[in-house]
Amino acid sequence: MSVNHAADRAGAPDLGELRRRAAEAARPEREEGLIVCENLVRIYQTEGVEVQALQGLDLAVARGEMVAVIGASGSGKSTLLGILSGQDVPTAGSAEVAGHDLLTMKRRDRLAYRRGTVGFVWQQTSRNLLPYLTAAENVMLPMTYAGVKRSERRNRAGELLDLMGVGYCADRGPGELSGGEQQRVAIAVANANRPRVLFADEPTGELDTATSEEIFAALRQANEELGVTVVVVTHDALVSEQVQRTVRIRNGRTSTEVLRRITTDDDGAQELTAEEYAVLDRNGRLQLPSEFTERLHMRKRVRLALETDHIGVWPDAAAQRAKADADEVQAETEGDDA
Amino acid sequence: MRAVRLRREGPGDGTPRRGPARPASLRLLRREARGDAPLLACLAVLVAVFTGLCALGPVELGGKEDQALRQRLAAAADAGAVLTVSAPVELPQPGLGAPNPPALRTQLESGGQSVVSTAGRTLGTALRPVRTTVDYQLLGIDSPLPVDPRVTQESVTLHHISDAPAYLHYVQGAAPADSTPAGELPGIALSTGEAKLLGLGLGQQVELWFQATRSSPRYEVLVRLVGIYRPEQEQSEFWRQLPGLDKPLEYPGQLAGTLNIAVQGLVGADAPELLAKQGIPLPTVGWEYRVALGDAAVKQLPALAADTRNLAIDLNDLLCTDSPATGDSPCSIGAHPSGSYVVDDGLTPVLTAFTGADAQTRALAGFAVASLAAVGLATVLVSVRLLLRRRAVHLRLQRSRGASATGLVLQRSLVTAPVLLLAGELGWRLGLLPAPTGTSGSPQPVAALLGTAAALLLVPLLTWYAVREPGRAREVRRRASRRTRRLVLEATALVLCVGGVVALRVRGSGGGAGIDVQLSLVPVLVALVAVLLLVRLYPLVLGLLAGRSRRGGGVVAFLGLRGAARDAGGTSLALFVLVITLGTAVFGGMVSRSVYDGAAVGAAWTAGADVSLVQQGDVAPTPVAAGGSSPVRATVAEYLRTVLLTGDEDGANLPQTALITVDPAQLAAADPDGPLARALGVLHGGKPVATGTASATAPVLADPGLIVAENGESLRAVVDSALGSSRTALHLKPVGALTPALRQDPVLGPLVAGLPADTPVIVGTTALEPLLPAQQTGGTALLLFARPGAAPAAVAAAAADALGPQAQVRVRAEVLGTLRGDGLVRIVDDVYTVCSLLAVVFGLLAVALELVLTARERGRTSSYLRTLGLAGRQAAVLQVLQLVPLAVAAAAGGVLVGVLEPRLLGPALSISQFTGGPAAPALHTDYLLTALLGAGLAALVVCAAVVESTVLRMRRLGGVLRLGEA
Repeated sequence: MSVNHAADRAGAPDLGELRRRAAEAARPEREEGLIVCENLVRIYQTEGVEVQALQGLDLAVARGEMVAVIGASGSGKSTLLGILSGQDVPTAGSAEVAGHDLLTMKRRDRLAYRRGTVGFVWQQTSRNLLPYLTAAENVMLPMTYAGVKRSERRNRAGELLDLMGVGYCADRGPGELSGGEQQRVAIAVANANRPRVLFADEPTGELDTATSEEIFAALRQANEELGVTVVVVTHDALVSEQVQRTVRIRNGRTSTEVLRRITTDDDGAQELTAEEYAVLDRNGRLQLPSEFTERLHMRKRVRLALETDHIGVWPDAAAQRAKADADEVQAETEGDDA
Repeated sequence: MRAVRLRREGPGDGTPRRGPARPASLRLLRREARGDAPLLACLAVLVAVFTGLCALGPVELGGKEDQALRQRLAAAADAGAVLTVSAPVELPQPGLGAPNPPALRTQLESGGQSVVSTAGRTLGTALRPVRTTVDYQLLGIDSPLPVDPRVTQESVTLHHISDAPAYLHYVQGAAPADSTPAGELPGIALSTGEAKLLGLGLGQQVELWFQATRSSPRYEVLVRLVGIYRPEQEQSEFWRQLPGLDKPLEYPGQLAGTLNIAVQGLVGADAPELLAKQGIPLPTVGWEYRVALGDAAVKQLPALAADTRNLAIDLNDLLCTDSPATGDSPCSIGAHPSGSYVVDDGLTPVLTAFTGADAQTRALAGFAVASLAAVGLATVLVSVRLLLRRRAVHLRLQRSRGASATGLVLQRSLVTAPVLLLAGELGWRLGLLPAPTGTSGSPQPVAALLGTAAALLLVPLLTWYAVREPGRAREVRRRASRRTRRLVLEATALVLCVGGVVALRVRGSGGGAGIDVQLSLVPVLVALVAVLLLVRLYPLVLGLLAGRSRRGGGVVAFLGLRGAARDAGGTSLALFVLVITLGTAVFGGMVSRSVYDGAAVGAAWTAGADVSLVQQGDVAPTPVAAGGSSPVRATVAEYLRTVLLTGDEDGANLPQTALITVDPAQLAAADPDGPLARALGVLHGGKPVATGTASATAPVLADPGLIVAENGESLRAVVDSALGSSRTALHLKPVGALTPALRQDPVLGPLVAGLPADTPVIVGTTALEPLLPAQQTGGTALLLFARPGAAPAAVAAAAADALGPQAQVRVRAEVLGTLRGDGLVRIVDDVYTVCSLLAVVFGLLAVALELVLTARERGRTSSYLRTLGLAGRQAAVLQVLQLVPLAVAAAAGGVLVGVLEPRLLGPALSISQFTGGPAAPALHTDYLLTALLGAGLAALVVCAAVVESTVLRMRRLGGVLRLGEA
């Protein structure tokens, strides 16, 4: 049998090309977004104990979003913020913010990243501002580092303080400002160099509810007016009401997301709806909310069932018996009470 | 909230857009500096003190060294002329037809000037003429005949001493004329005692005779007694050096029951010519000098030593001419021919001893200075840490706002550098103000610069460490864990410490110029290792104690101890400062105490007893009244001879040995508890016993080496007589070993001290004396033990002439006073005192700063506990309890380091240069001082803790709660 190998060779890829294609096919599809974290791991030692603060966290934030990352104390949210702000380095995984690969960034790049790409607001109002500078000087300080001309610095600082509603505080020192004013000045400082992302770590942690509202209003204003993507890290679940998307972190992984949107019904009435989603990572791992698993007595094992349009998650037989017993006991108790 | 329209610009792209990054403004720096003012002031004071010390300390130290050298030279001059140059002069004798040169008296001064001008520049400048002498050999007295019939021989030595008139008062007649009228006999003057003993009256003619050797012609000389004097200024150096001018010497004659008399008389300046006319041609002209060094004495020391070594060569090179015909080198004193110049050098031993002691002083001072520097540096480190801790939040904020690590380092440096540089400059200038000029020490600008630079560098270094960029992920993973780093640090310190100690023990503290860096750093390393060990160990102890207190129900004690155990690592710098401070103080106390005690041993060794008389040659002492009302309680005579030994069994020659004979009965009476007195008992009187046909054998205590060499068999000793005219042989049987303890018995000191260290010694009893000939090279010592309460001067006076006027009198109290009052010893004391005091101040400052550094954590704990219901008083107790272990550990560590360090250093730390004595002095810990220092330091730390807890107690509830939340 004769085979026209030449014709085959002309149309067929060579071995190198095949390898490249194979590698591309094997490479996992990357998430899109301004902030993309994939399988992020951070391990550190404290007093001889190894702590896995992040255990393969995935997160994607789109440009212009205002996102809240919430989690209990010790869930890894501050570690995540430390990494995203360029002040810490992950142990493994990948983290990219505005095109900057945070794992491979060199020192100079890291500096430029902090100067121009990201801005920060911390929880402690007094720790956001240098106490020996006025509000305006505090706003001008990052611009000084970035090499902005003096006249431009002054103008920009004035504009930012006005935008945040604290223009009247320009010449006051932080000690002369209220907590809310300090945080608004801090937001102005964080936006001084026109960052692409603004990170806020518990920005309302020390503030009362009314002032917190003002701070979130300021953050939203920065998000909308200045186009900066805002990531707020907090342990306060109520904060999620202030943002469009809330990502919950549990045990160093993203567990659920809540999306808020305003829907308009047929009558034209607007309604704020919130839907909670569990996060499915690239490896197919899924964290079930603890209230779900506890309610159904799911422990150690669950049974999965693939249906035509969904996957059923069932407690195993032992758990079902435990649940039945519990229901029975509860029914008897209620009967006695009655 | 008011909305304002902003220009919509795209978000940043991460790079500076309008120009290069700019450093922080001057305004920012000024404001930061204002906030840091207290700590900057603290740093400035530390740097100023350091540079001030660099400017003042070496100069002051050099001045004290100069003073010590001058003191030693003055003491040497008081004990006798430091440097004497002499030469026998040849005078024309009648009938030889030689031309008449100018009178010798006119040449003496110019001869002395020639000596000075010939000496090297440094020595020539330092030489101060004391006197010029013209000395004659011993002349016999023919007439008048002795007054005392026991006297078989009378002799006189004649001297012309230039400065004698100032110390004499003529009770009869006048001083011999310097220009005797023609035809008159040369005049002589004698003291009242001498004239009386010789039975001479004023104006009486005296017939003297002279014969150089038995084969030489005998010259007879006539002189006239023209003056009788008594001493004036009896306590003066003149009479200490020349007592023979006043006191005649009476000594036993060759025949039993006979006496010899020797006196010294004075003649006029023209006596050489007059006596030459009568046949006495060869007086010796001598110029005695003392050495007076002016400013910067120690700096001149090497040149002075070299000039002194070369003086004899220089004199004979310049003042003598080689004569190829005769092969000799005739010299001259002015116009008079003379023999070679001889230099009696008493200066070189003084300079050598001083050089050794000075090197040791510097080594010891180096310990203290290095410790002070370490404490100072640690204090600076704590200050900078606190400075950065206070700024940590701001630094982090600036870092996140885009400040580069370099920028922040620069910013911190710009805040601190001007302050520190100004402080350094100010301290330097202030240090120079009181610094004396013209000392051997000079300000140390390099050390000052290094110290300032260290302080300057600490700021950027620690700032960089605080704000540095995180490493890349891979680097982070590879970075050694804290535990590993700690182990490496501990192992490094241990290896360095052990290496340093071993190296020092091997090489010793061979003193060079300046401070020995290695020797100085080792104590710092020892302290560091001690602290590292303490930091490892004391948390374990605290853990055990905490466990006990928990079982005992003491909550406060439990919490305090657990807190202290947890904070142990954090307080290691404070612990280091405290340990090294206390270690230095204890070390200084030990050195001081050891020198003090060692000086007593050295003085006892030098003097042998309360007072001793030492005379060269074997001289039978005249009896000294002892007991009763005499200030002398007991006397012991001992004699030294050099003997040649051969083994009786194998005939092997043994090294030249010193034979000392002591009267065991006298010694037992004087010093019954002394080791030698007890050991001499085995000799049973030490009388030689004839055994068979062999000659008499005497029992002796012998050097262990001799006993081993001859297997304990008897030795044949050959003793040459004084003039080598006869030899005596006897057999010695070692019946006991002269152990080091016996050899170091102070009673042997006056004779053994002058022997080379490796000379074997045999001790017998005075029962051997009748068998032994007198030796000129030997020595005699008469030890005088004082009656309780008797003044040493009275003891010395009671036996002043027992060994003749030339005998050297050693008074233990005076030797002790000299040793303890030595300038170099005072320098060591002063340096340790000053360094310890400054180290305590620095150390307390460091501890206070460290307390401030760690106060937040302790305050948080106690605030939390107070919110749980802990009473204020209990909180205060807890606060103190948390710091008490630090104080105790510091006290224990400091004492341990101070006490162990000298033992670790061993031979590297020799203080024998300050004490004299037969062996290196034992190290004596001053327990009282050590206990006081340890307790004092612990008390100071506890006081600081109490103050801190008091301040905390004054905090109101609001503050407490806020602190608890922070």
